[in-house]
Amino acid sequence: MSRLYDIDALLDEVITLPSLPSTVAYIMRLVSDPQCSLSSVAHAISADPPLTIKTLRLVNAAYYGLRQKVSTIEHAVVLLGIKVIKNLAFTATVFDIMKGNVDAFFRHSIAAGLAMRALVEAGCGKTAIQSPEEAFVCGLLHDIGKVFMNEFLPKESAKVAQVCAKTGMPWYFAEREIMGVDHAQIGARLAQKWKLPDILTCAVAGHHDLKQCKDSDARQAAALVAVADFICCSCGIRAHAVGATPVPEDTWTASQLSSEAVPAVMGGFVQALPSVNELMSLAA
Amino acid sequence: MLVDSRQNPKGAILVTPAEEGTGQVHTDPLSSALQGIHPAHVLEALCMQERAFGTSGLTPPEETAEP
Repeated sequence: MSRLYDIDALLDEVITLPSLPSTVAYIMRLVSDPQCSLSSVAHAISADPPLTIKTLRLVNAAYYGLRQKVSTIEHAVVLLGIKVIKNLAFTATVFDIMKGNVDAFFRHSIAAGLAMRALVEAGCGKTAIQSPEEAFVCGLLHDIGKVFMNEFLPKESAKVAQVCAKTGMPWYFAEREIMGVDHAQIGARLAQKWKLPDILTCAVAGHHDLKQCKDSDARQAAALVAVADFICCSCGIRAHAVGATPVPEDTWTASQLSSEAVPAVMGGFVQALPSVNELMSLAA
Repeated sequence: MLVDSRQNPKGAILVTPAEEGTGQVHTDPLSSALQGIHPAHVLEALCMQERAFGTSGLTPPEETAEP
């Protein structure tokens, strides 16, 4: 018989959430200051050689479409800007956490990032989400709580998989039934611990439950993550061999996605799909 | 809704009854009937189209495990 936890007990007794690496935490703080200079961000990343290498690999990925090879962080910051570089350094850190997991989970997370990016590039959620890069991070992070559930509660997570496969119950719902807590709650606590922007925390916390979001922007960001998840599952890019989680009507409404915008979203997503394998290989 | 290759000028097609009891139907390209369709259904149709006919390497529908 599994124990039903509350989120605080689970994080006190069972799951240890990792700290954000100090360099990345420092960069996030730096970039939150409007006076922050290009050179200070470049200097902070360059002081951490492994992070520099990972960030440059991402910068040079075909996905970012730079015509010239970039070999220094200083050059990358000038070409892409501080906020993009911050998101790339952060993405490299999340890749490190995710790469040990099963390919299907990692692939789904990256694809959800690309779907979020396609949604925002098609004009959805422009007031809620600052940039396509921030949209990518929202999608990439949405299921990160599952990483820790799999690591610290492997038997319970296996039971979730069994129940979902047998009954078709949505994954998050089975998590609540079996463990008392779902992956969105764990992911939101990680986002809080890492002091991520509120919109990212809400997008993770609310993608299966909009009530977790405190304002309309947060609800739209969370709803768009749910839609991105739906797109990936409908395209067969699933984290688990179970059906797509149904998206409730209030979530479609909160996403403000119109039927007329869908072809442009799908066009952008399909065009970005070859990047999934490239981005996965960069994390290896 | 019928899904076909994007190379087909009509692509995905919406089939609706022309007149009750006659067995006749109207067919309209999905792209011309978007307003009356829920975004979920448009997404599902376009995802299915890409999986079945696209070149992006998605798993064809029949190969995906269903519960």
